[in-house]
Amino acid sequence: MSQLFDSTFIQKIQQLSINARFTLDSNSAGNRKSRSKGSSVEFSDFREYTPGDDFRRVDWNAYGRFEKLFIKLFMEEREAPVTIFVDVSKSMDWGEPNKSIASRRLAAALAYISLANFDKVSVICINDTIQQMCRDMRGKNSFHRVINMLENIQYSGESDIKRAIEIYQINSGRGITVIVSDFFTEGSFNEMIKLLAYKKQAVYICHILSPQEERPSISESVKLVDSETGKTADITVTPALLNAYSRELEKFKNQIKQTCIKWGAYCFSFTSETAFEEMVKEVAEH
Amino acid sequence: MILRYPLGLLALLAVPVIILLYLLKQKHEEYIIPSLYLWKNALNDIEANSPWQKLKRNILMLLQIFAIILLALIISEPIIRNAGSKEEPVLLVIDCSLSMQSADIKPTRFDAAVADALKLVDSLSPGTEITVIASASKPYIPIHKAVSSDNAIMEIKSLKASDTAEDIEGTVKLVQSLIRDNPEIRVCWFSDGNNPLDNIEYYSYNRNGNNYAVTLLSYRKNNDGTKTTALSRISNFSVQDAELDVSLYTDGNFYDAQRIKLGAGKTGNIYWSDLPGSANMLELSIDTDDVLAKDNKAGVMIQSDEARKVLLATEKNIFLEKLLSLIPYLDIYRTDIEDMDEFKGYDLYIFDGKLPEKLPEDGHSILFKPSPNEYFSVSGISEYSSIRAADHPIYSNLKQDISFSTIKTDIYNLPEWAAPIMVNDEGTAAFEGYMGRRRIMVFGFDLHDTNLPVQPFFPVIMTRAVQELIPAGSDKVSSVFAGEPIGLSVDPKAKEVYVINPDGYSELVAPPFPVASFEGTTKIGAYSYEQHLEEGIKKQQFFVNAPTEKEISLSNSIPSGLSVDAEASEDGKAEGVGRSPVPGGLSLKVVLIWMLLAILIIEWWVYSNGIAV
Repeated sequence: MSQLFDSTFIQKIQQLSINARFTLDSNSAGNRKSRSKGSSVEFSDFREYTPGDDFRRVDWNAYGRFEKLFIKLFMEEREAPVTIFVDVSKSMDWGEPNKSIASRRLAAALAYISLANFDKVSVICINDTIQQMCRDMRGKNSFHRVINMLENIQYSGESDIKRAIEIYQINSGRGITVIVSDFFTEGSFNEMIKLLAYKKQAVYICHILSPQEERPSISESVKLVDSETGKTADITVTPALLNAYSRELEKFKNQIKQTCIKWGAYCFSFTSETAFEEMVKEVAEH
Repeated sequence: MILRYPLGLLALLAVPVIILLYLLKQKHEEYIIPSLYLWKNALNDIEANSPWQKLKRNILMLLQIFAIILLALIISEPIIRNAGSKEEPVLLVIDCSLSMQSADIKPTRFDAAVADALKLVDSLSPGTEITVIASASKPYIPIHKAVSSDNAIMEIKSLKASDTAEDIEGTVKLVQSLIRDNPEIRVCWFSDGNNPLDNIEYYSYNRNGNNYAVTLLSYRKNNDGTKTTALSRISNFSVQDAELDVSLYTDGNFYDAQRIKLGAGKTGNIYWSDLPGSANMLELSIDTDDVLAKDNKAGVMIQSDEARKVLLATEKNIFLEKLLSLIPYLDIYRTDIEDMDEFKGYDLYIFDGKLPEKLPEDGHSILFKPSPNEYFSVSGISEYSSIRAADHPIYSNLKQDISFSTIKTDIYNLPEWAAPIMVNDEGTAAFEGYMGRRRIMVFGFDLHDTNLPVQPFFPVIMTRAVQELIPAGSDKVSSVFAGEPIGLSVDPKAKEVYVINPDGYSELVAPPFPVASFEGTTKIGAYSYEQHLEEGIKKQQFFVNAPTEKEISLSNSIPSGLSVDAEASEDGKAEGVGRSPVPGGLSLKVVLIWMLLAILIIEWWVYSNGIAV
């Protein structure tokens, strides 16, 4: 067991998985059937009948008592395809604590919870293309594959998440897609979300930045070097520049949030110093 | 406006360097970040928010260039000249006499005068001809027509206040001669006395601070030489009455103290009787503090009673015998030349009418109508002529007309080594001078052929003639005033003669022989005088005292046009009283320094507020 995913980590995610409600939302009820028919139907609630509803689900007993049509609602246990994209571009291997650790732990935890929930899980390491992936895993026994892959992944290259998603080709119908990244990415974030929405995915955006990105500690004239592209920029850090940077950061994060709201995606913003269980709780129990 | 140091503008060469640095930019240390994305946007944001962004780098640069320009100006020291600063040549006369050491103006009158002189030089236009006269016992010109103010400043700074009296007449003559050379010259006189000339700028440094001085110290021995009486004269040169404590020291040891009350500007005498006859040295000290300490002390060496042996070789000369017998410290030995085999062992030889083949080697000589000899020659004989005095120290302070008649006298070809004593219309009748180490005084007449012995001045000039050759006491000189030459009676057997001043500085006076009078009496105090003889070193002392009568009494008169604040002068706190303001140019240096400071603050503000990147 490595330091990244030690026994404490495993214990914690096992605990987290009990309370997790990391599922497709209720609006999708009836559109996807569980493969374990007959035994997996659990009564949930009533609602009034509206035209178009399956009249086979009308509760006639209730009609007899109230002379109104009610539909019985059921919590369907089903196999949701969960796709977790982990950004392994060079920019993610930075910061103190390192963003790569936080992002991999979060991805692993979500994968475990999904596997524990009998979902079909795919974990894909991407930069501007697909680096490595564990596809269509089922059951907790598959979790070690995720661990092995995430532990040994090399961070390199530039980030282009949209391109990587296009390459992956999500064809599983409705499902959950989680993206863990700093989103310093080429290509339009909006187009990426739009693509996933088109693919009928419930999108979970996990935006991870390091504390040094949130509050830069540069205090002199330096030549900034982009870790991914190697491009440089000479700057003399002044309060004005730092203010402008803070404004840009807020703008950047807001843009991501606004885009998520626009397309019905969930957006979570973390720093790499946030404990992974907090991140997981926030994502899985939102 | 003028620039005192135009070369300071060379600092402007830094301006292109700054521009070059901005062009080249600074090389920064590399700092790896995940992505430039946000930083680029931030940089663009700053540029987008500043409509004058294109200028913002230039603002810092312009400020720095402006700062460099100010710095160059500060180094160049621009001065706005005032009305008094014309470009005519300037003559600075700085009083370096003893009274300028008075501390009634802090730190001293001299220091204040020098500071003002420097200030005035500072205000002059570049290229102004500057001449400086240092006025002391011997006025001199340390720098003449200097175009560089730096040189003038250096010379003025190197001036020192001396212990001597100011030769005001000599200085005035020097100044007048320079004015004659250049009538346009601007004369600025820095002194503590009264303005000696019209149409000059006179800057006075005198608060008439309390000053007391020993103006005289002398002594007299009683007949048997067992007791000595000292006479001292104390003067109060201040504008207030004073009660002074005066101490007397004999041979360096305290002897007695007396108190004397003196009115303002008054002088009083103190007698000290029954001093031990064995005392060789008397020193007097006023113990009350005043603004000038150096004139509070005086000293005098007591001449010993050691008799000087004089050999008078004459057939019969009642006048000489009588005269010599009146001089108390002489032991007279009378002889005839024919009776003597060898002339040796006397301090003075007087040959009357005759001359040995060879003059004695160990003493000085006085010759009356000598026979023809190898030492000097006779040019002729003058009969029935009137002989008058030449310019010689033996006549000093004798105001009456010195002349007498003679029946017959030899006229001499004046030797190169000699100076005339008496002359008539035909030439030199008497002369004296050093012939090697011996001093010879020659009179071309027989006293019996003249009416000189019946003249009232005869004993005076003949006594002085003898004293010239063998001063009273055992060659001791007693005391002189600072700056005055002192005649040193040198033993003919001396090989080297040194004078050691109060600071311990030893000066070789001789060789060459004969010894001219010693003129290095510039310091007040006790001097040593050493003659190196074959048998050993002969040490004597003499005192150089403050020239109080000549210097202090003159300088402490109240300058015209100045009010005297006696109370202020006492503590010296009332700046400006007794000190004339010196005109100078208005230096912009301070203003420029403040401007530079302001520019630097603005630059810091611009930088820290992010107005520039």
